[in-house]
Amino acid sequence: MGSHVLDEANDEHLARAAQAGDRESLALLVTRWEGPLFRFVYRLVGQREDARDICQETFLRVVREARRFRPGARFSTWMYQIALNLCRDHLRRKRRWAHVIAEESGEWDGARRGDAPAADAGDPVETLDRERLRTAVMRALATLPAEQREVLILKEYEGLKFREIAAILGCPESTVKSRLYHGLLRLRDRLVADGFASPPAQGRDAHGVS
Amino acid sequence: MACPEWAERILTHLYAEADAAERGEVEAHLSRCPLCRQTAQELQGVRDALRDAAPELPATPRVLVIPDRPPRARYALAAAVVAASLLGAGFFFGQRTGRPEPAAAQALEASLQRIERLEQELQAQRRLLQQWGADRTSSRASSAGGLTREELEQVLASFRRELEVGRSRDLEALLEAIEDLEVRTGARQDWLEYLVLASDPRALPR
Repeated sequence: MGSHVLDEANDEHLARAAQAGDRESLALLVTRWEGPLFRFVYRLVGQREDARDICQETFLRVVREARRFRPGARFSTWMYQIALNLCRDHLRRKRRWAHVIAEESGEWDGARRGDAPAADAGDPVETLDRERLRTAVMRALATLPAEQREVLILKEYEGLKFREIAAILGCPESTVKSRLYHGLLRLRDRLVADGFASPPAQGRDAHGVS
Repeated sequence: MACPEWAERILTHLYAEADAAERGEVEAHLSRCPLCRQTAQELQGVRDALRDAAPELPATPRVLVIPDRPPRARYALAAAVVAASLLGAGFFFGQRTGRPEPAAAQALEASLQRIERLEQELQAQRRLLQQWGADRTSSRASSAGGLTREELEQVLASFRRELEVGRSRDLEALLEAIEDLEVRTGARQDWLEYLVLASDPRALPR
């Protein structure tokens, strides 16, 4: 895209222009967001083809449902909302997280071989350990309730602020934090059970958090 | 587990979203409360594991958006996706400019003319059918037994033409997608065009 003047424009400006039919603006929005959006969707649905379809559909809706984009709203929030709803529909329809767990590791292995062969090419033992940890983490993530997994992915992998996640999910920040907190604890328990972390200290559960 | 009233604040601190005052308070509490301290460490440990074990992602597929063909957007989109995944090309839009006419544009032009001809034929067929329907109602007695062979052939011919118009439109979308790709990438994609044309022999230039 180089030094196109539109590069300076903010997302909201571009979104409005795109919705008015300006293709350059839409092109720029897509360029900016296709990466983050695909990563987010892929982490939620676990399959490349499905993730790609959902990303396409998200951008189509961005254009088609122009009227629903409120002035003053953040483009990324709106885009994530659309994508998240599509992911939820997709997962509800397929109801197949149990399968995805198994499929995922295979697909991610393939992705590693294909796209980043040198990433772990150091010590083979270390590579194996990392691989085991990766599998354990993915399995643990897949067992989380959807609402905890969504928050975890938005926070850990997308790096969004609590405030932004709350806007996307349409819930208070405290709800986001509570889901994240319980999600992390649950992951910890799973990782401990798989031998990747030391067990929780004695007496911990004396303090309960609802 | 951390003290319930501190859980959220520890999280805010952990993700570096606490302001200076809040940070000070949380750190003071963590220094006093071993249970909260341990929970904070464990949560950080899980975060580290998530980071270390982040699954490597497949390459981001290019997103293709062709926004201005509502009735057939999906098909055009599918065609565009096929084209792009075959070529590994960047995104593009259904946009034609005054740039040099690429190979696909010529095929597209031929295709458009063909479609126009087919649509005219289709209109003629429809008029014939309507006429025939009107005749039928006015002389019900003579044709009450059903369709004659001639009538049936006409209906079938009409159906075939509709089908052909539909197919031609699909072909048009594909060729247009290829043309857009050529304009975007500045490279002719004759082989892709041939592939598309070969999939529909009727579309080959006569």
